[in-house]
Amino acid sequence: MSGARRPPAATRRELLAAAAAAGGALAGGVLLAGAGAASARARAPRDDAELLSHTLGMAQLGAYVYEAVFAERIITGGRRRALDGFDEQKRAHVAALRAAVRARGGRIGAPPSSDADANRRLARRQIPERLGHLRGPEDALGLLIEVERSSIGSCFVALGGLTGADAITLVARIMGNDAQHEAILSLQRHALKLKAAAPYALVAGRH
Amino acid sequence: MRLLASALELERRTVYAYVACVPLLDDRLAKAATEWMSEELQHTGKLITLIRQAGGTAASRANSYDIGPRPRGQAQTLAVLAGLEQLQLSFYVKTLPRFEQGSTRAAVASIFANDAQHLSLLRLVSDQKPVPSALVR
Repeated sequence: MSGARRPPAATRRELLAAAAAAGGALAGGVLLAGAGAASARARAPRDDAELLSHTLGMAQLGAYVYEAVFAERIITGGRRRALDGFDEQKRAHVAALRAAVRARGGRIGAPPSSDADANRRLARRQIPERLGHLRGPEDALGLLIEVERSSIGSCFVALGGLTGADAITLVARIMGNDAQHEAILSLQRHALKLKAAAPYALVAGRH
Repeated sequence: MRLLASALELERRTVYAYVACVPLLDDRLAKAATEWMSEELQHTGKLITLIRQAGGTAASRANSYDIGPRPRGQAQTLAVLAGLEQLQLSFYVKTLPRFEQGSTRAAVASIFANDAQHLSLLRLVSDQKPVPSALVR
C-alpha cells in the first residue's frame, strides 16, 4: 500500500470493516493496523443491497480490465491460453451480482466507460493505474493479479456483513473463483512455479 | 460451533491425505503439495482458534482418517487430493450462510478461497481445465 496516497473514504471504510471481520488480525497478507473494531462496525456499510452493490462495482471494474488487457493482445501464447474464459467468468459475476442487487432494490452503478475512468477506479483501490500503457506481459499479469486481489477483498468485506443466505453463497462462490484466477495468474508470472501460485493459507485479498 | 467442528474434521482429513500422498508424487508436484499441505494445516489452526473464540474446545485429532484405498500412480493420487479439496469446498458453500457471526464467516471464507486455489492447481496438473466455472461449487 502506497504511503504517498491517502485512501479515499470508501476504501478506508472497507479497511475498517475488514479489520473487524478479521478480528484486527493479518488477513491474507494485508496487515490492518490502527483501526478499531468498534469504529469499523459503526462505519461499515450495513444492508445486503449496499454490500452487494459495492461488490458489483468491483466486479464491473474487473470485467472491464480483463477486456481491456485481452484486447491489447499483450499476453500471448500459452500464458494467454491459460487465462481463457476468465473474462467470461468475470462477466458472469457481474450478471449474477447485478441480478442480486436488483432483486434487493439496490443501486446499480455504471461500469467503467473508458480506460481513463477505469484507471481512476483502480487508483481509488490503490492499484497503480496503467490501462492503456502497460509495459509488457509481466505488467499486464501484475495488473490482473492486483485486480483479482481487490475483488477477493471486496467479497471478503461483504461476507463479514451480509445476512441473506443467497447473497452469502453467491459472494463466497465468486470469491472462490477470483482466488482461483489469482492462483493461475500467479503461476504465469512465476515462471510456472507451482509452489508460488497459492502462497497464503488465508485468502482475504486486498482491501 | 458444530459447523466449525465439522470443518476442522474435514481439514484434518485432508492434511492426513496430503501426508499419505506426497511421497507418491514426483519431485516437482511433491514440493507443491507439501506447500498446500502446510496451508491445510494452517486452516486447522485457524479453525481451532475460531472454536476457542466461540467458547468451545476442539476435538483431539484422530490417529488416522479414512481416505479410501491407497491410490496407485500419480494420476490417482492427484484425484484423491482433488476429491478431498472438492469435498471441503462443497461443505463450505453449503454451510457458509449458517455461520451467524460475520467475522467467523469471513474467516472461514478465506479458508474456502485457498482450498479453491488448491483444487484449481490440482486440476491443472491433472491436465484438466483449472477453473471450469465462474462460481465455485
